[in-house]
Amino acid sequence: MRIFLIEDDSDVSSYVSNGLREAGHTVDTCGDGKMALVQAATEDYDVLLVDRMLPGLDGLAIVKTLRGSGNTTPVLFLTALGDVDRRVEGFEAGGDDYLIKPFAFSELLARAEALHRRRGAQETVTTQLQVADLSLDLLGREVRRAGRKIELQPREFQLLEYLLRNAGQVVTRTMLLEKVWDYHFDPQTNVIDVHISRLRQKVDKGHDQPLIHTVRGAGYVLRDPGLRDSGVSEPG
Amino acid sequence: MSLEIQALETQASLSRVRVFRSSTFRRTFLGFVLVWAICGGALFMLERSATRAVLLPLAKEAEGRIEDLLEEIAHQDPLDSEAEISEAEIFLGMMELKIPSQLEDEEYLEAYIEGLFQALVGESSAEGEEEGEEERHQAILIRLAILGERDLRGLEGLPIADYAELMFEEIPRKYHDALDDRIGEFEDRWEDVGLARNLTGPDMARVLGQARGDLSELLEEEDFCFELRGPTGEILLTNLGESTPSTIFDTEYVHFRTTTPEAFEDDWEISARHCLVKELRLGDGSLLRCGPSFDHAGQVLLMIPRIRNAALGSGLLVSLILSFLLARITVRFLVDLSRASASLQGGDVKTRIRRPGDRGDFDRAVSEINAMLEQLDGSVSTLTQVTDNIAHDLRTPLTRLQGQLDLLKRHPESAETMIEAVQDEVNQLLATFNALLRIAQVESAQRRRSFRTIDLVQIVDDMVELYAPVFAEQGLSFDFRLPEGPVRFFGDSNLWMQALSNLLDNALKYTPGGGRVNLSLMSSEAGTLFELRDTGPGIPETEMEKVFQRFYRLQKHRRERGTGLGLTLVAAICKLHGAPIELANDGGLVVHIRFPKFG
Repeated sequence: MRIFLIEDDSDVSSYVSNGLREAGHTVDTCGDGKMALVQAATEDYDVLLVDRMLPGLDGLAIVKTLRGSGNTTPVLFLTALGDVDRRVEGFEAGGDDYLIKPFAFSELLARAEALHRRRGAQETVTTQLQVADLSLDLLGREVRRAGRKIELQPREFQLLEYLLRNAGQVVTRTMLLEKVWDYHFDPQTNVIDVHISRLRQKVDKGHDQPLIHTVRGAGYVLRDPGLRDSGVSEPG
Repeated sequence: MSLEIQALETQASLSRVRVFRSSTFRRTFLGFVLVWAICGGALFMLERSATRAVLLPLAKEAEGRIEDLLEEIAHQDPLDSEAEISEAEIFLGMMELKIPSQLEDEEYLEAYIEGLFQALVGESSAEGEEEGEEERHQAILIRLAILGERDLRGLEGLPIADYAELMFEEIPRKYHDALDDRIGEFEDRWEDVGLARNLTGPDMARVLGQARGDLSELLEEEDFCFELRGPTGEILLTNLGESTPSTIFDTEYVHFRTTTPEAFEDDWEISARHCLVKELRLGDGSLLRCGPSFDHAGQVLLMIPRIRNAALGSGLLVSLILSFLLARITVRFLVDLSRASASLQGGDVKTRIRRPGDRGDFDRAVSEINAMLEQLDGSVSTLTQVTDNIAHDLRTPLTRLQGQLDLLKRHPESAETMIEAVQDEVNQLLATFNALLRIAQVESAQRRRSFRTIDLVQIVDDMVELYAPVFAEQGLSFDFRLPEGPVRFFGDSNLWMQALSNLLDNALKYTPGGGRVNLSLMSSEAGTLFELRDTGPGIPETEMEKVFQRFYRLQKHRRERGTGLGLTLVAAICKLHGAPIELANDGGLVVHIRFPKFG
């Protein structure tokens, strides 16, 4: 994935870009708003990571301008400004996701990869999601594994759908809480873990290959362990 | 302790000079002066119109009387009394010999008199007369004498008295009748003529002066005033005392106002305050002014200028005093405010303004300002406390982190296991930091901007749905009771999710396996009550107050995971929304949050 990181703090910039490179992505960085806008408009990137508070032109303006000129590259805002109004502002300007500093790197990585994936997925309309022998029928609201039907509660269905849509990529607990439950708070207890655990009971139990894996320090990933994909993971 | 007692600022006294120099004083004073000027002007106008309003009706009323009086004077029959020849008679008799239609011409008059005189002189006799006759003759002679005084004196050079005597002896009896007839004629004609045209000023003066007694009877008025001026304007007779005509009236009336209204020596002169006189122009150009005086009305009317003058004079002084007093209140307030501001800017958050204590506008304003200062003071000390807490409670994990990294340096072989511990520590720190930020945000009330109308039932329901599996997994039974319909409330749904999440997390953490957790939301007239019960150990009474403090951990739970900020945030969220939270022990911990009625 080609990533453009627009961040004026040099330490954060180097820390994030190094991390991303080690995860196998190409990273360009820029600390000035105006120059970054030019670069983002002329170069072709898969994901833009944009800090809101920049010298020159602020992140919001950069994204508005890009969107105005027809650029549809997914944008993830990074910022210390975390209240609801700011988040809404970011989305209205054309951003796709919003991450509040300080953040865990794994969170950043997971979300960036999810954005990239989403972009690809938007081009085609699917009615069915499939990984290995697990299939999910979006129209009929049916889940089958190895031919056998799995009964899922509505929330469990949504959870599985999200994991499938992001198959092969790490999804963090925060992402799940935000995207599946549409909640924006931080639970102390890992409630998500329990829900995942119940889902696993239904989806993985009794099958040779577990599909839902835990990624320590990051989150979860739904993946066919037989395949090699981006991101290091351990079967959990 | 009341705010006033806590105030450390001692207010210095407010100098008078400061008040006099203030713009408030200037403006107030000018305002008063303006008002006084307007009132003064109004009073001037008032006096004029009041005087007219009071006197004119009286004058109109008296007009009739004046006319009657003049009629009386005009129609006095001089021949009624035969017993005496009074001055009145003489005066009136004099009249009958002047006929305006014929005698306006002076030359003619001279000739007439001379002819008459010749006639009388030429045929005088000194035959014996009766007593009454004698007097009549005398009367006639004197009349003639008076009449022709101007002319005769010039001719003969004799004083009138001597001449009269001479005449008296010379008029023959036989002419008496003719004269009488003549007189009678003149009497008739005289009735039509009236008084004014035939009089001369000096004559009138003399007569009036001499006929005081009778005239006053005649006049039948006690308070009549008059003034008689000669043809050249000299005063011949007046009972007005010291007075000046005023220009209030532009009618036929002349208004006199006495300037020294004390009693006069001569009781002929009246102590009139106000006189309204009608003017009569006499035959020779003399001016008679005659009319009623108004003592009682005058009293009132005289008061007006006095009041006006006193008011205008004292008004200035009163304005000064009032302005000063009013300005002082305002200026004091402003000065105190400035001082407090300066003090505050200098860093003294304990400064307060002294209250007037009179429950007036300034008192209320000062009270509000002091409350604001109190809040500021509170914020500052919270800030101090918070930074102290943060300093302490962030140092600890950071120190641990440093230790771990140091260990790692020394034992690179145990990197695998150590790294994870380090990452956990860092994540924990991040969580703490985020929680602190959120608490700070909520406490600063900034989050109020994102308040909307929310449904509490929906929020609780969502949380229940999210947490139910967790409770199940931990072997805790979880019962909940929610109302049928929505419960509306004005607030931030994300914050309430956070609060409920924190409370449920605690319940999970501290309720031992096999226990029970109950959640209920109940609406009533007073509002809505949220209740969360567990069968855990609860909170010791001694620590109840402190659990909401940042980083506070119960003694026995010091080692537990968590930031120690969960309840702090819950408390801040409850306070922001005006929904008080209460904790109690009842078979475990009971949490109550009371939501006030929406709307």
